[in-house]
Amino acid sequence: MMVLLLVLPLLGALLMLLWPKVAPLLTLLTAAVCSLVALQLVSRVSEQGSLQILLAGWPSGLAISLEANSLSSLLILLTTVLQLLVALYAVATYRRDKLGAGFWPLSSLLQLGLTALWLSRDLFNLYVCLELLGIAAVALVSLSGDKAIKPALNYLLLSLFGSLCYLLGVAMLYGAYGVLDISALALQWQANLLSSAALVLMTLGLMLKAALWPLHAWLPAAHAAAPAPVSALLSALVVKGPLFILCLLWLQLAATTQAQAMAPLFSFCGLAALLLGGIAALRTPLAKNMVAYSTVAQLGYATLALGLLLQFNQPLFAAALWLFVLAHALAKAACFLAIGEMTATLGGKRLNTLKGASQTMPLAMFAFAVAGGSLIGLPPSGGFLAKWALLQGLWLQGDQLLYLLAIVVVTLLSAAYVFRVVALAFDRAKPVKPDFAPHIVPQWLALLPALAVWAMTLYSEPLLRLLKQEGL
Amino acid sequence: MSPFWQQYLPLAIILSSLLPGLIIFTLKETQVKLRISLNLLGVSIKLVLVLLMWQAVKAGQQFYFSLPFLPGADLVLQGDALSLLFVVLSSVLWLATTIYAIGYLEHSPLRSRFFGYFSLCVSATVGLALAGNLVTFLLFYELLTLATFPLVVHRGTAESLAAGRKYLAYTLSGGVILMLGVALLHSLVQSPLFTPGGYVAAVLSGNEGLLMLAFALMITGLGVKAALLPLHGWLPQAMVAPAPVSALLHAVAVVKAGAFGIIRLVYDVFGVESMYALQLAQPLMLLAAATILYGSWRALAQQDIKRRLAYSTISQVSYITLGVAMLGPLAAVGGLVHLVHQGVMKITLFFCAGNFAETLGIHKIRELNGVGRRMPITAMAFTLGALGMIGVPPTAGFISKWYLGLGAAEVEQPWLILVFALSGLMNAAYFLPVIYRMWFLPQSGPWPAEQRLSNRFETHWMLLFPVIFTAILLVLMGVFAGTELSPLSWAQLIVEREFRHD
Amino acid sequence: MIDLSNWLWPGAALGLGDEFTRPWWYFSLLLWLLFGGFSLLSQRHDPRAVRYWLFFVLCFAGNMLLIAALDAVSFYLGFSLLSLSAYGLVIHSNTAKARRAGRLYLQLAVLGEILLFSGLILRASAADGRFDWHSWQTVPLEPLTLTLLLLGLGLKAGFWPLHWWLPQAHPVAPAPASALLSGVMIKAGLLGMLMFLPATDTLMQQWAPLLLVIGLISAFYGILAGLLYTQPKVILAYSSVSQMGYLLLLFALLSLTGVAALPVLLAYVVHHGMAKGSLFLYAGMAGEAAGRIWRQALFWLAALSMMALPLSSGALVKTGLKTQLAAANLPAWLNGGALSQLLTMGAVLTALLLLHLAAQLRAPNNKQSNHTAKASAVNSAGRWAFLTLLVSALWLLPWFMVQQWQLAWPTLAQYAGLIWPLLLALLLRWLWYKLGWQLPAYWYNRNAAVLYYSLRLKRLYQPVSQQQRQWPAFSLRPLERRLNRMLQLLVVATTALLCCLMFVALIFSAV
Repeated sequence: MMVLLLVLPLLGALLMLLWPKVAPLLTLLTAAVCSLVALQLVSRVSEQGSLQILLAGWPSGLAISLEANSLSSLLILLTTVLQLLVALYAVATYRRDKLGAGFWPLSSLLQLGLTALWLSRDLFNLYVCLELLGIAAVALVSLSGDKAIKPALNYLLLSLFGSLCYLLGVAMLYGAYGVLDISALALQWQANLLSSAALVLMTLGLMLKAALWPLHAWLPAAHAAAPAPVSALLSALVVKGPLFILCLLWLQLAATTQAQAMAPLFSFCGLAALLLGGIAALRTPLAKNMVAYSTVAQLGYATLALGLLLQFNQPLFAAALWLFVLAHALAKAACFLAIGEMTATLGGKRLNTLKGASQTMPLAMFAFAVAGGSLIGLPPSGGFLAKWALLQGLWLQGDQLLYLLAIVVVTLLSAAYVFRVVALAFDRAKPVKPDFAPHIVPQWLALLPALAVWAMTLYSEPLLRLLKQEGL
Repeated sequence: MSPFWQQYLPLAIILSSLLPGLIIFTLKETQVKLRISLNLLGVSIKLVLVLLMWQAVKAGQQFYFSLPFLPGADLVLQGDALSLLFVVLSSVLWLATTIYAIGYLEHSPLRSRFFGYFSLCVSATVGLALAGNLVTFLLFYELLTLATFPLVVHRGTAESLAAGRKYLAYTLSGGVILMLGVALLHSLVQSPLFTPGGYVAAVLSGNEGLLMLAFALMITGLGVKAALLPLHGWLPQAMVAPAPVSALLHAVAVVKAGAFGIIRLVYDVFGVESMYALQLAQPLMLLAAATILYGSWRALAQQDIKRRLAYSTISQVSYITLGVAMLGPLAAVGGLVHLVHQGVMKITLFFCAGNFAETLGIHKIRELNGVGRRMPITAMAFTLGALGMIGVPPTAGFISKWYLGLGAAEVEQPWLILVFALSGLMNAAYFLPVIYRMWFLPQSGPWPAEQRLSNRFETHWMLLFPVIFTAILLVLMGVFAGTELSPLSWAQLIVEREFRHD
Repeated sequence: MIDLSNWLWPGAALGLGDEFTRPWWYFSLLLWLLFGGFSLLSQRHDPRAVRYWLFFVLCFAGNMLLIAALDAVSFYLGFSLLSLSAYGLVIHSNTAKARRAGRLYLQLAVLGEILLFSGLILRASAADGRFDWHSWQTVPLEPLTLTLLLLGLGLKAGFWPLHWWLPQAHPVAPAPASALLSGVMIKAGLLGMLMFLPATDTLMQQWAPLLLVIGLISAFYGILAGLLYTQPKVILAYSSVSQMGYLLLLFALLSLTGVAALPVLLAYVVHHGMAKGSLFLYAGMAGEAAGRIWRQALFWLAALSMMALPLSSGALVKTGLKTQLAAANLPAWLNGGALSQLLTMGAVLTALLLLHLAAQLRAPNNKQSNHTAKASAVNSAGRWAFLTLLVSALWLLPWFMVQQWQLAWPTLAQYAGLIWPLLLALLLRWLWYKLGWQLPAYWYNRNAAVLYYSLRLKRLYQPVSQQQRQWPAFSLRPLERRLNRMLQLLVVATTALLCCLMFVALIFSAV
């Protein structure tokens, strides 16, 4: 089953290269089948507990091992479903937006990389996935044409640098312990200078790739430059890959002392990201940059939750972390698709373009607002669930008023940038006229993930329980 | 009533306005008849359902519907006497406002959107009334914010956008703070059902500080919508919204949601004994009293009709808070009954202000001279509403003031009577000159922007009938306060149930 | 008794079961109908007749309701209806003067309402939430409640020092309206006191001497102030202040005599209502009386009744008042004899004021009547017929009083005591006229200072223009722009690197 999830996108990508005419159809097909399989995987895992397979029949240690616990299966489901959605969106708009033919195989490769990443529990395999992910992402960014070259190049260089750092760390660990499988490594782990150095190197690399503050500077330019479906994929999924590895490292490998030392730094980074990213999102005049900065800010929640989890070891924070990841992925996909659709239709990339959008493109605007509600954390959205878990954890921990205050402030900040757009959309004075009649299907596609993130609440209790237990 | 109904009636009441609202969003501007029929259908179904529920609750039945949500806090809808008070109020006034809005917005653009959000707003209000625990309440509280924002900015002018931003800034901050408080309380006792007498008593010892903090946070969050003193800034600005929206905002939806939340918090979450034990009532009382006086004082200087009404709302809503904070049964009756009475009176006043603006283009008080001759029915309704606000018998306002006063004497806080007296004086000082202008002064110059909306009546019948309806209602509620059907006896029933638990 | 508590507001009940509400009701009804009939004629050509009748009827309803009320809420309802509707009558003529007076009236009326409301609330609360005032009789009064009720009701009753609105509002209203205001409406305040302040209450007994003194002051003040004015209706209004003083005195005596003074009080109310009503009506149409001796005789009949000419109702009540005062157990610091002397002096002054009024009515500038222009002969005759009816009723009143309330006819000695103040007043008036005693001119017809304060108050709640608060212009935008320029990518990258280095250092230090 897991193998199917890996093979299908690879096969699809190859076929697409051979037979470019049916590439859109193939992408859709792959994503759809993978989604079904992922759904089955989720139900299997929730029934039988985590599954583990070794590729090609080699014994443990030599073979590539794949492990699917409930978190991984959820993330896979998320990946495939979003892939399907974005592919649908791309199919609906690729003629209009002149999306390059490279999009189809590249997005399949991206899916492959991500799926493999969620399943791998081996530092080197993870590196490979990371690299695949990075290359595919850079290539996707560059699809936009000339104007995207500079940010794409920037992204490429930084991504390579990050990978290098990570690889260096892996090499150091391999030299010291001789194993790369995480569970095996965790058994032998010692908190010494070498392991610390390796951890720091890997962390830096991963933070760079995940665009965690203060290493986020490449992200807004790259995400804003990419075509709308690509930005949706990048913001929703790609940055979560390195984050996942980061969590693996610190939660499963690092010793308590190391974790404790690092925890406040993560919390600080998270808060700073929330605050500064929020302010930047609030002040930027460009529409897609606003959403991109919002990604920087929202990743701060995850970082903050990670920091708190390391500090207090309270399972609620684990739940908060992964809920943030899930909710943000859905919400941000919706945001990017909606904003992309609106800027494409209304012609212009500044936020002012969206003036009066509530009349001209009510559906897309509604999608943005609904997704924005989750970013703010309004009940009963997925974002609210995550925030609720975070707040519960903090209140149970007691005496964390500073964090609580900070959360209030950043929530308001996120509300400010979301409603900045919404208020602009309600401006009836001089609405911007669309360049052509707005298309309905892409707008609905943008609305779907936004509704999905609110529908998360229907499963809030199992989700919370699951993530609390298996937050890595 | 069968168990099926007992479970699904609360949900059906919410859906009866939610579904038409969602359908209306998808309608085209030209499908006027379909839209109006949908709207009225929703209203009638809701009224019938509410009536059913009202009778059942009166007979002592309970309604309960739940969905799993957070651990320890399901999404619960329940129908008890207190929620019915608010549900009936909002359903009845929704009827009036819908008709009014249809008349008011005739020939204006974007009506589908308006009515869609309008229905959402009422659904959120009703949901808030039926919410069975704090988390559910919080949920509808935030939804209400979201549903009302498009209504506030509906005109889409720079002024209304500024008001909308301010509204959001206040209400969202309030919402976040409320969420913080709810989360804190949840971490202490989870979020059980609202119970008469409260449920925090069990964890009272040892957690005094945290409970007080939670109370303060939640009151701050609710106080934004209830326009308590330092948090009232959005209300006077939000009056740039179209008249039916202001009417709904001031009478039923937003402001009342805050006040209703405070009632729930004090009686059904903390309970009278815990309130005493934590000494939380006195500060709330002081705050409410200060708001009453401040609102009245600021209303005096306003020259714009709707602005004056808005400040008056700030003052009047705090009567409810004050009645609740006094923690005596009679004061509670006064506060609860004022929830209804103020709603009806204020909606009348806002309807009238809207009629003046729509028919004659009057926005300022000084333009009202002699309007009593041109629009006698509206002016009469305004007069009745204003007299009610002052508390002149036999209007509804008198009844609530009377009970609040009795309550103040009962809990031995006679200085509160002074507050009522002063506020009454100021109410008279800002309403009587308006009445004087309408009736006793001759018309000065032509009306700013007169339209002939009807050949038979002084204005469009859809603008006129809701006004007549609410004006008659407010007199009837005062005159027949002693009957079984009156809000007063319902409030007494609630208080009996709330205070009987021990 | 009609119990309406299941139908109307809680506790609502109406009825006339009392020794004083029943006569009060009939007397008020009589006067209302009489003055209503008069108004039918006098307001016939009034362009604002609809308004007049609207407020007339509302006042009527309010007054009747408050008399019949058995519970506080109904009373309060009637009282407010009366007070607020009377505003429409006060400003009926719509002149600047009337509007000014109306404003003052309304300000004080609302103030009175609120005070009364607070007092009633406290009273109801002290009586465990029972609303009917009969059951309040046994509940002890508290000083705060008593003060509030006295102030609230006193503002309506208009005795000194709560009389401010009275001399302003009565003169500007149409004649029948001022007759009603003086004759019936201000008595509503007194009725309220009778209902809500039980005479047998301990605290009331303590405060009664004080009220008595206030009543006396009011009686004298009204007359002395009235002497300084030349408009007949103002003089009459001040006379009402003085007469309300006597009524307050009688009210105080109720507590001091153990309610024996009640019949006298009732008789006084009826007497004053009729006499003052007639005088106001006459003052409204004095112009038509010029040269017609019968019409002037009507004035003198009414005035003489007020002056307590023997055989008049005035004589009966004045004597009754003195008798009650003699019977009262006064506290030591109040000398009964001196009080009696003061009353006699008051009688002299009353007579003097009425003579002054008579003189002013003859003065040429007060002779225009509102009706002279348009009134037809029939209309005029009808109005005079009404006045004749009223005055004859006034002179038939003594027999009724003796029958109904068992008031004693005065003895001969008392007659002497009644007559010589009259003669003295005549003498004084003649001397005054002959010797030309005059105060400096600026003492006369002064505008009341209270009007000024009323205007100030109005300015307080209705500012002429609203000052806009100006915040200093302040923008963060330039600062932000400069910051953005500084924060180029390179700078950010360097900072990020530095941060990372700091991380590294921290981690290593932890190990």
